[in-house]
Amino acid sequence: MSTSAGTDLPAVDDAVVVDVPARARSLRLLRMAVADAAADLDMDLDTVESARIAVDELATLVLATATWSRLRVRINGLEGCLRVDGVPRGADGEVSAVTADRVVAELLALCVDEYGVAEDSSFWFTIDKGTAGAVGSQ
Amino acid sequence: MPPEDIPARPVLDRPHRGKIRVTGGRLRERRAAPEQNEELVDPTERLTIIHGSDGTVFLEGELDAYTAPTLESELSDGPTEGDLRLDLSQVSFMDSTGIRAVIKADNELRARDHALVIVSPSPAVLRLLQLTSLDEHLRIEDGA
Repeated sequence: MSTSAGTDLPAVDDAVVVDVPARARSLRLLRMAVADAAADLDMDLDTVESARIAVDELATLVLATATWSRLRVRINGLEGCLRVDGVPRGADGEVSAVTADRVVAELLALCVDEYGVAEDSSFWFTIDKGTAGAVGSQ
Repeated sequence: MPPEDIPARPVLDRPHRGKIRVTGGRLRERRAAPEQNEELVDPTERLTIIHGSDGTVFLEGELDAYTAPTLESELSDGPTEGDLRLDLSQVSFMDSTGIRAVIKADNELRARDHALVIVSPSPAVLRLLQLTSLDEHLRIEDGA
């Protein structure tokens, strides 16, 4: 594999990185970016919608833990699998624990294959094209 | 009115009168006759709430953590008599914060022996209601 000069990165990195103000108003931009990546993987409409819901719910959870400055979300599609990682930065004051109520937990469990939220409020989820979306086909 | 450099568009093609709220707290009184229904809204707004003359509340846009508080506030200030019909046909996205706003309104109406009726939910909204099994608990009607 060819690499960029002086780095270990591949010559072309297909990941999309979205760095937005850590505000609820930014949620729509995150949803759009994730939906676009899911569509590029030829995921069906229900799966694309699941990806939109997942990034929206996880980002909303994280934004509620503190007054953050920025939220960076990295979106990577590889071999039919969508991987999304989110990292908030610049907390003003204390950071509270992430708490998901029953509805949010159920939604995430139904929409993604795997997800997680770390103690530092970073989050991630994966949706595999081959396994996701079935719940939305009802 | 939106600034001149922002292309304007009609909110809805159905006739109605009443007040309109868009996110950001702006409130407009709708006085146009149905045939003159050309209310214009800044297209960058995320959620438009229109109170129809028949008691139906029309939503257009997205219901998320940014816009749901506006809806909660609007519904809590709503009519105290009769059922509330919430037309969600033009809602392109809804998340758990939107669900909570709907459940809160439903609970408040039930406490007054009234009902919340979800009218013509869009495919995205209907899917969310089905995923959370709320379609079994809420009253949903096809507005056609």
